[in-house]
Amino acid sequence: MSDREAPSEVAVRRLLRTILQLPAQDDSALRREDVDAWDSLKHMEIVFALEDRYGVRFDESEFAALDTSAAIAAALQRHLAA
Amino acid sequence: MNPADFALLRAEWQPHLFNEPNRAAPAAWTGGVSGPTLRIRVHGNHGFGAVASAMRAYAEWNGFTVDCTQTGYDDTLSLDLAGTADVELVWFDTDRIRASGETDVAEWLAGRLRALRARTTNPIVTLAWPLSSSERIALKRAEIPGSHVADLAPLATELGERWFDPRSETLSGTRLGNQACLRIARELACCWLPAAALPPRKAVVVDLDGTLYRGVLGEDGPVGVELTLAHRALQSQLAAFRDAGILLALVSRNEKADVEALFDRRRDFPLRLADFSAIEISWDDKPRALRNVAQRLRIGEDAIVFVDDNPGELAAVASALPVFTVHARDDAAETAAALEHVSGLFRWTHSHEDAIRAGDLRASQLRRAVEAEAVSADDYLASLRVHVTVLVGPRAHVARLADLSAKTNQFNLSLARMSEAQIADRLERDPANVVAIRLKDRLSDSGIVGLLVGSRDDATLHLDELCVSCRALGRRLESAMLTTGLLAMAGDRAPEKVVFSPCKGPRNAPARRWLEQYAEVTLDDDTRFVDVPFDVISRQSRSPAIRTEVIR
Repeated sequence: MSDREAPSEVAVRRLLRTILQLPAQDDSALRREDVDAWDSLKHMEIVFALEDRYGVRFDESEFAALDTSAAIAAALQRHLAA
Repeated sequence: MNPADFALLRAEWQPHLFNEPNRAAPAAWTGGVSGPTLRIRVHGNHGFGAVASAMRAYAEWNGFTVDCTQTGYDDTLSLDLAGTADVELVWFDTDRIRASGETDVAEWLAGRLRALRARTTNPIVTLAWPLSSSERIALKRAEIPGSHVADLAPLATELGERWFDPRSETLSGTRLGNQACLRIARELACCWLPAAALPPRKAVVVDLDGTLYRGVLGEDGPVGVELTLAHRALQSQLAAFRDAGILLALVSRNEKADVEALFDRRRDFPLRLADFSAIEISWDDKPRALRNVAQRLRIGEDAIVFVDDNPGELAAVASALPVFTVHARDDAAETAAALEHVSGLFRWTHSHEDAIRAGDLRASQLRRAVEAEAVSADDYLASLRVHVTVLVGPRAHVARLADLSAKTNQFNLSLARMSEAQIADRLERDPANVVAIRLKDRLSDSGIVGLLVGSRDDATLHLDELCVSCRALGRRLESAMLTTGLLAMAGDRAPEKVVFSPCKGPRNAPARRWLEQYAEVTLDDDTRFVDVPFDVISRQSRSPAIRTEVIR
């Protein structure tokens, strides 16, 4: 079941931390280049988990830019507002 | 994690993992399981990462871990066998070889699977797509021992346009979409791989109230409990398990008369009371009831799946017994979805023995009555009209023989756990030294219940595998069956001696006790070989009341 309401960046961080298996108590922003665990496999899991959770479909050209919690929150807001 | 906490964690995760698959759910699983590891060697020509990453959660929910190694993308399937593995997984996009001009894909793939078979005895599981039904049938007809071809067509049909996703190539190296990879991961980890490489579960034991129907029998009465559509489907699923040879049992805290009235009056229930091979209705605690069920079904407690709507009961059972637990949810469709994905319940093939198992168990109760009335052992055997058939070199029964080797615990002397490929190899090289034993009496046909696998040098017959199904035990027939089998194996070239290879396992004391009596020896924990002169075997007395037959 998908959630059609645009998530806050905090909600995005929470999902990213779950998938990347990072400590939940740390709530700081996340950037792919700073997180060793965010490899190509995890990136695939993140993109598809976002699509499943929020019922959106990213264009292939967007995949690489979904590399920070802020960029992801902004992309979700764009898709859900469209 | 202790077993009770693990049972509660599994109950909590059931809806997340088994309702509509969602990539976030398996990625978030933090189980931490200390069970066995299944090492999967992936031979393929497209990315497996999107499947492998989701398999972890489904496998760990089932109590084991997976370790997948893909040897690279290879359209020619050159079969790199570097490292060690428990299962070979062929993960193949057939359009890539069709594009290169291959016209008979089934024959080409069968050739590669035969080449793989020649190099390893590991089970082989093939997931090839696209594959027409005629191509899949052709692959099945290739009859490669220990090789299984999954049918992906139902999943593809269900997912429709979500099956493929061209964007996936960029992210995960396969054109199969996210949902396709999630569904394949779930089937692989829960059904296909365990059926190829892990011990099977033999029985599903269910609670009544809140499990088989909505409501409480003691309060709502037989007519007042509600059979929802989902509960009806769950009962039908259980009936299908029974038809596939998985035994059913009932454990419930209720009054026996109420339960009998329930099944008597509710003709709309797909299940009848007679479908349950063991029934424990009492106010005793459930671990004790489950122990009784295991004894009556003659199976290990770890071969049981227990379904109950009360998480506290699940935790209590899991803390006392190695039983696998499933939480019965208020929406029975969720219970059914989880039950369908308990490892060890799916079977790649269904044998004659699967179909007759429940009836044979019922007949054992009648046999006890016959035994009580018999005036002597011969009278008992004669009245049953026991017929033992020994099949020498039984090529048509490889799957059943591998099943016996894998499943038999109590009467398994060597615990060799031979795979289909290993038994097929023995049959190919030395058919006279593979013997199957079939048992029948007037009360039931028990099918193939025994297996002997030997190897010969000039004067010695080495017995590498000896097992008898628990359904055939307790009839005073073990020695007669095995002696007949050994004599048939020896044929007209009598060896000087037979060397048995006992191995001490957690539950094979009955087989070890039998050998001690048969060979008049005492086994230590580390006794590895027992020599028995062949004339001791040929002089073993066998009741004239037992009809024997050898088919070569």
